[in-house]
Amino acid sequence: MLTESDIVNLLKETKKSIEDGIKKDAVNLYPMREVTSLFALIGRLKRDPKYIMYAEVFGSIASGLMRLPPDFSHFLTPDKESVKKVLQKLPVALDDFAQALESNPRETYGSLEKLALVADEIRTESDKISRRLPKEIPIE
Amino acid sequence: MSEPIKWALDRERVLLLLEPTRKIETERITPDKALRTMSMFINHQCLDYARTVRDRLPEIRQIANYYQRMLKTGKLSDSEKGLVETFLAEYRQTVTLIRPWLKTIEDAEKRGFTIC
Repeated sequence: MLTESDIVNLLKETKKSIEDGIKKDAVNLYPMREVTSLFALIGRLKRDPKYIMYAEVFGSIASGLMRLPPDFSHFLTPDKESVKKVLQKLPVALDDFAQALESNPRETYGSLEKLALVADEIRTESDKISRRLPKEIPIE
Repeated sequence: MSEPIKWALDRERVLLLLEPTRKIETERITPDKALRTMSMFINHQCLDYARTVRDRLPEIRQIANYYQRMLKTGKLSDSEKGLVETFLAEYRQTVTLIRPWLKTIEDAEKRGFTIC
């Protein structure tokens, strides 16, 4: 039987994996997808809409991460730093959410909102950087 | 409901990103979209993204060739250089990763499967 503390442990592992990725200039997407799938499954099995809501917020983070190059080591330092700065918000927001799930359910909604904001920032940052690629491609 | 939560719960947006519906795209792919397409495929290899990459590969190759020439001639600014190198690294990885998918896509198309 899956308990809240199992979910919290998975969130902590996800947080660690994201942090490890940031150190290597990489995006670790799969843990986020796993959490998304887990929440979607619990929501379906328990018929509890709150888990579906969690799944959709985590899904939006996963889709934001997918837009980033899995390896951004080629980026020049300013771009690398701006990507890292946004990604570093994710472990903090994940921690808040895990803590809320574990001990303070009233805070869950607020921490979920923070995660959704981070998802939006990741998406905006990745679009902002990729739009700077040279555009005048001659038709061959 | 707050705006960030509403944004995250916008099903249409989330589904389009996670399971994009197959649209026939007639416009030329832009470099930023090409980079995003490759990133999505490398991050999550599945039938749907593999098909998107396969359909767009000639255009992506054209952009990659142009960028390779630009790198050689040194016409790029420093900030563009980092992005172009990322693009080329992803292009090389995509070309390697798409090969085993081509047969799978062909088989899936014969059998009518289209999604991830």
